Amino acid sequence: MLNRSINGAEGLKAWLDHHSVSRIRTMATDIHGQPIGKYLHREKFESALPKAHAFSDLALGADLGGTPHLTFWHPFRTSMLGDIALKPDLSTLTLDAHQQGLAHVIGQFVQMDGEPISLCPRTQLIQLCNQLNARNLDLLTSMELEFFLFEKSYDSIRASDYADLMPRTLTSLQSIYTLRDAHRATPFMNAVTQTLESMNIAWEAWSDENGTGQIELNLPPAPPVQTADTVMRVKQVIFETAAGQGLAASFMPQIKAGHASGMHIHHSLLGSSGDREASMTPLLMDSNQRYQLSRLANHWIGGLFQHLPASVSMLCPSINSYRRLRDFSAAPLRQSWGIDHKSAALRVLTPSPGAARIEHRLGSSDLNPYLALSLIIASGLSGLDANTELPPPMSSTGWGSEPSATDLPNDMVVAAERLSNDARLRHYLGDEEVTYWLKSRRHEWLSYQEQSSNDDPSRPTLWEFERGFAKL
Amino acid sequence: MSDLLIQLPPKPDLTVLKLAAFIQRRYRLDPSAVSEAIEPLVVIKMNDGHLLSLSLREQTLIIEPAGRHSPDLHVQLSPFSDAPPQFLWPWRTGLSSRGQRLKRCFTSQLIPWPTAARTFLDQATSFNAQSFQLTCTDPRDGQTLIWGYGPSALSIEGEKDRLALFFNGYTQLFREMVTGQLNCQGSMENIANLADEGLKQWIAWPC
Repeated sequence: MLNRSINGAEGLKAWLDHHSVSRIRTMATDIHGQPIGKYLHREKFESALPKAHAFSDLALGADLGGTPHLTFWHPFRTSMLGDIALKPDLSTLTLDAHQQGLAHVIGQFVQMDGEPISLCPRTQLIQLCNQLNARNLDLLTSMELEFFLFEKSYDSIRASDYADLMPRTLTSLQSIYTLRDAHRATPFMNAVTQTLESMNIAWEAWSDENGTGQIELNLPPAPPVQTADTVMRVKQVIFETAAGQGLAASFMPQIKAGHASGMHIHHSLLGSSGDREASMTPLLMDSNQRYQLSRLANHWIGGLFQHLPASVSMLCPSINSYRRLRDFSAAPLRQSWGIDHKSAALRVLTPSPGAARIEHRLGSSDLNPYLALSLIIASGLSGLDANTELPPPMSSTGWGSEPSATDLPNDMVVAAERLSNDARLRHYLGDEEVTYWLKSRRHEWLSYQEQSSNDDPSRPTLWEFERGFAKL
Repeated sequence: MSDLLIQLPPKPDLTVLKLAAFIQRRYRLDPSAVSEAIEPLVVIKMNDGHLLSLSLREQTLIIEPAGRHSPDLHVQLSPFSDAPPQFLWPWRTGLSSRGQRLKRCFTSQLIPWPTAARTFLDQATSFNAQSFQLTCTDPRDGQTLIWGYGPSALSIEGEKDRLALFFNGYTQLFREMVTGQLNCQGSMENIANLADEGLKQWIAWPC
C-alpha cells in the first residue's frame, strides 16, 4: 500500500498532477479508534506542508459523544484550548476509488510547531516500532476484521432506536462459512473488495462468520504501522460502501445475542540487519527447542502472557466490548496460551519457520489498531528485557471452568485496575499516556453509568449504540 | 501516611467505588479508625441488598462479594446524589465495643470547607503548590483560603456548604460548575486538574 513514488515537494506535485488530484482527505485516529480528518483543497494541502492543517486539540481530547475531556489533563494540550495539527505521511497517499480528483492521506497529530504528540496513537506505534527496530527486530502483523451487516440503512436503524436490526443473511442461524449466507453479502463485499483494490489495499479472503450476519475480512501481513493504517482505511471503505448501498455495517462487538465480533491480531517476529526489507529472518520457530519456540520467542510470548491481564483495558476499550467476554463465545477468558489452541488468549502456530506466528485473540472489533499493536510490542519488549519465561501451555479448554486466579478482567473497572498496577507495561507504553487512557476509561464508564438505563443486560443500551454502531 | 491500595470486586458498580473512596478519605484523616474497624473483616449490606466484605491486608483494602455473612452495617449510598452515605447499624452491633469502632470509621463527616480543602490540596498529585495558586472564597461570609504560591491562578467561589461537599469528596467539580453552585475561573489546565483531583476523592477509580 505504501506510495513510494513521492519524493519531496516536486515528487508530490508530479504525483498530484499526474492523477489530476484537486482535493485531499486527511485522516488521523483518535484514542478511541475514531477516524478524524478534513477535506482540503490541493493548494492548501501543498502550501501547509509539512503539516496539513490545524484543528482544535479537542480532536484528540474528547469522548465519542463529543464531550471534551475536561476533567483530566495531558501536556499535549494548551492551557486555554488551542489548536494542534495533522501531519500527513505522504507515503500513504492514495487515490479515491470512486471520486475523480480526490486523494487520501493518513497522518498523525502533532503540535503546531511540528513536535510529535506522544498521546497520538499512530505516534505511539511509530515510537514502539523504532524501539523494536533499534534491536534489529521487526514484526509482520495482520488483523482479522469481523463486523455485522444489516439490511436497513444507518438512518433507518437509528430512527428505530437500533431495534430494527435485520442481519443480511439467509437465516437466523449462527452458522459459519456457509456459502448461502455469504451469497447474500456478495454484492456488498464485491463492492468493498473492488474499492480496496482500486486503492491499492491488498486483501486475502472474506467469509460468512459465526454470528448472524457477521462477516470476516482477512488482510495480508504488513509492518505494524501499515497494518493499522490499512485497518482504518478498510473500516472506512466498509462504512462508506454500506452507506452507499442503503445497508449498515458495524464494528460494534456485541449487537444482538449470540456471537460477537473480535479483532484477532496475528504477528510474527523477524530479525533484520542491514537493508531491513531485504534480509528479514523469521525468529519465532526453533524445532530443537521446547514447543518448537526459539529462546527469543519464549521471552517475547512470555511478555505477552505476563501482561495479558493489563492488556484487556486497551484491547477491549468500550463498555460493549465486555459483553463479548463470555464462556464458549470464542473470546478468551483466561490468562493463557496454547499451541493452535483457539480458546487460549495467545494461539501459537508453528507450521514452518516462515509461517510461524502468534494470534492474539483477546481484542474486540472496536479496538484502536494503533494502540493494540503498540500494546503487543510493549508486552513483547518487556518479555525480552526481563527474559520472561513462558509457563506451560493451557492443556484444557479455556471455557466452562470455575473462576480462578487466571481469569482475565471482564469489566472496564477491573481491567483499568490491572493496567494501572502493571508498572512494567506502563513504562513501555508511556506512563503519562497510560494514565490519560485510564482517566478516559473513567470518563467513559461514568458517562455510561449516568446516561444509560439498562433493563435488559443482554442488550446494548442506546448510549452504547449511539457511540459504537456507526462511529467506530 | 500513604493511601490505601484498593482491590475491587468483579464488576463493581458506582456505589462500590464511592464506598471505597469514602474509606480512602477516612484513612487519610484517621488511619487507625479504618484499620481498627475493619480488623479482621467487615460485612456491609449495600442499597440493592448485595453484601460486600472488607478486609485489610497490609495496606491493601480488599473488597469482595460476601457469602452468607450477617451484615455488620448497612449503607445507603445513591450513585449520583451529593448526599453523604448513611450508615445504619443493627442495634446489637451498635451497642458493642466493635460497634463503637465501626461508628468511628463509618460516619459521614462533613468537615468545614477550609480544613477539608487544605487536606484535599495537600494530597493532590495533579498539581502542586509551586505550580499554581488557588484562591477559594465563600462570598457570603467572605471567608477565603489561599493555597499555593505558583504563577498560575485559579479561583473558586461558592457557598460554604457547596465548598464543603466538594472538598469532602461528595460532589464533582464540573457538575457543580454547570449547575451554578460553584464558580471556577482559571486556565483549562488548572480546572481540569482540580476536577481530576475531585474525581479521585469522589470515586476510587484505579489510576
